[in-house]
Amino acid sequence: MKTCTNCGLDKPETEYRKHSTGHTMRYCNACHLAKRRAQHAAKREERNAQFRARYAANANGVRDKHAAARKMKYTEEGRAALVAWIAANPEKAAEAQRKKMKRGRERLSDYYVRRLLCHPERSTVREVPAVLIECKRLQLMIERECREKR
Amino acid sequence: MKNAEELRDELAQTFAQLKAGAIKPSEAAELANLAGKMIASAKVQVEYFALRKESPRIKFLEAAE
Repeated sequence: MKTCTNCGLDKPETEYRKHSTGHTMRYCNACHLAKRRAQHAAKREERNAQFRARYAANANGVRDKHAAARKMKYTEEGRAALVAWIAANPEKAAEAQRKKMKRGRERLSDYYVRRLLCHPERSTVREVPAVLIECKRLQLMIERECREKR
Repeated sequence: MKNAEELRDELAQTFAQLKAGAIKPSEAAELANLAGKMIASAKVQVEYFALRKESPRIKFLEAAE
């Protein structure tokens, strides 16, 4: 049993928090929480004003930081996870690729047209000029329209 | 047509005319075929320089870059 120096009540040691050194605190749990709440409430406005000022001063910094984190996740971890999944599920991956290409063929997506121009497995070109993609897409659109009208 | 941007504009115009019925499908198909040849030749040029690990200015694509 230990006496709380705040409320003066005798309480078992389990009712007291511990310092990082292992010693029990002088306030019981209830008094400790009450004290912390009072401190927090007293400084609430001041602290919130500090946070608001810091966010306003560095709004883009915060956004950039989050964007960088997302990019990191999707370029490194995400990519590694995807490669691992493809290696583990080749049939599912092939099916997903077929679906993606079918969708791309219907919509003439950038991915599909770029792949038509320079297939990643057969070509060394990594960046196809955007204007070339647009030209190819228009050419395909005209050919499709002609086929429909004939 | 001196560059890819002009080719794109021409193709867009042809597509609009074809949709409106101002030109025949056979005529539009010929134009699309010709455009395909031009795109393929530009693509060959891009691939050639990529293989040689060079990045010179390609006149046909220059205005667009």
